[in-house]
Formats: sequence, C-alpha cells, structure tokens
Amino acid sequence: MASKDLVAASSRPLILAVLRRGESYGYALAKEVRTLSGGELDWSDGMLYPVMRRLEREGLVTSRWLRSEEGRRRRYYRLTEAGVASASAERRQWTLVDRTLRKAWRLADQLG
Amino acid sequence: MATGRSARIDRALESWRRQLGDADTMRADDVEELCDHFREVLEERLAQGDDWREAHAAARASMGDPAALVAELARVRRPPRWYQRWSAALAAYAVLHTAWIVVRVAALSVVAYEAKPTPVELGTGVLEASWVSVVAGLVLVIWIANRFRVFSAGSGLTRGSSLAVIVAVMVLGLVLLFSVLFADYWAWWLAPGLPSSPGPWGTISWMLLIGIAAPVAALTAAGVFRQRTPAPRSS
Repeated sequence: MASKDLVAASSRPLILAVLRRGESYGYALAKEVRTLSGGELDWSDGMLYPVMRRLEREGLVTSRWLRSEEGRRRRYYRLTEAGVASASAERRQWTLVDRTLRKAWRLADQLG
Repeated sequence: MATGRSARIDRALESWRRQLGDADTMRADDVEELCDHFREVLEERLAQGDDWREAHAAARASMGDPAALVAELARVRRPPRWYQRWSAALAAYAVLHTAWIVVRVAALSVVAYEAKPTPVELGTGVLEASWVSVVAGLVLVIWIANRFRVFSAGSGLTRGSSLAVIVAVMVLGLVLLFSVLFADYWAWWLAPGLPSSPGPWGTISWMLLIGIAAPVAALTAAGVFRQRTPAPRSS
C-alpha cells in the first residue's frame, strides 16, 4: 500500500493521465484509478474533488454538466490544451523519478 | 421493493449531505457532485450484493471525513490573500467615502434651508444620495444572493437573466456615478467657493471610486453567479 503522501502527490498526474483518454466524471475517474492501481492506492474518493477544483482553477481542466443515461446530472471533466501539456510534463517528470529510482535500487542490489 | 430501496438511498443521501454542514460553506454544485458520487458507490455496492449496512458504510468510507472534505474545498475556493486585503481596503474606502457624501448632503440641506442653492448644488445632492442608495442596494443584492442562493438554477433564474440583473444594476450605478462626477466638476468650475464643490481631490476620489469599485463589483458578482447549480433532491 502506498503512503498517504505518495498518494497525494500522485493524484494530480494520475487524474491528468486518465483524462487524457477522454472526458470523464468523478466517480468514474476514482474507479479507473483504483482499477489501474489494483486497489493499492488508497484513495479517499471525496478528496478527488478538491484536486479537480485546483486543476480547474489552474486552467488544466474544464467541466460541464451533462445528463447521464439514467437521467442524472453529472459534471464531466476534460483536459484543456494546457492540461494536455501539463499531463505530458508530469509524465516526463515521473518517468525520470522512476528511472532514477530503478537505477539506484539496481546499484544497491548489486552492492548488497 | 425498488421504490423502497430508492427512498432509503435518498434518506441516506440526505443524512450524509447534512454532514457536509452549513450550506454557506459549500457551493451547491460541489454538494450535488459529491452526493452523486456517494449515491453511485452505494448503488454499486448494493448491486454487487452487499447488504444495506455494508453498502452504506462503504459509501461513507469512500467519501472520507465530511468535515475534512468541506474544509479542503473551502481552502481551494478561498480567494487569494491579496484579493481579501484589497477588498477590505476598498470596503473601508467605500464606507469613508459614503460618510463624506452623507456629510456633504447634510451640509447642502443646511444651505438649501438658509439660502437658495444653485440647481447644480441640488442636483449634486440628489445624485449623491442616489449613489449611496445604489451602493447600499448592490451590497444588499450580493449579500442576499450569497446567503440565500437566489441566483442558483433552482430558483428559476437562468445564468443569463442573473447576469442581466447584475449588469443592469452596475450600469445604473456607473451612470449615476458619472452624473455625480460631472455635476461636481461643473460646480467646482463655475463656483469654486460653494459647499457642493468637491475640488480636485473630490473629483479624483470619484474617479478612483469608479475605477476600483466597478471591477470589484464585477469580480464579486462573478463569484456569486458561479453558484448556479441546485442541490439534488432525489434520483
């Protein structure tokens, strides 16, 4: 299970990455992240929404209210152009961290 | 059976929504979105075969602590510190300026009683008194809109008509402001010694009021009209 800090730090790139595939709404986003992590990222679904508000305020995401097939109103989110660019930047940064950590651990394993 | 379950879900939702606390701290669209999420979790767990108690507990757990959620959303929504300070300074300025206008209108009344004032003096007094009323009215409209969410979609007012109302009030205020500005300016030009003459500093302060009050009113109004989504009633 990932630590709380790591979950918080990864929420933003995860949301951006999921939204890169297309428009989605809160519950579906949370479900998608849970599926991708195999349940290992312990998200509080509620805390997704403050992150969404921040992304909206930063202009990375826009939202609109649509009616679902069941007739329920839902707020759908999608990436803006700035959001797409930010998703790519986040990917580069996290890939760099991942690559660096892998190298560090490989070296540690060789010495150990 | 389905109706009974639906009613039970509605009751659970209502109970959870109450835990989100005072409506003043939460925007209606945020509440609607959170409640929709809560409902989806609850319905999915029931569809998977959980009994009511398990499903309800899972839905509550998935949303986390309501108080923490409300606090976090309020933190995200809070305007920047510079804006809060700017607004406070502007409010103080508006109060002082309004007090100054009241004093001047009172002085004009004395002039009107003791000697015949010029039409410009009387016109200035009337327009200044009107401006005080417009400011008071605008503040009242914004306060009511915030307090009672009268401009939310549930009130029957669309976003467009809400904006039309605030734009109309602002245009009226600006027209009155410009009228006062020019009436004062003429009075100052024609008879610098009269008590209605604002002098250069009075004129400059009016211009500042126009330049600052209008954008602030617009920003405040924009904040009010973002609350356009009603809280959900039921599925």
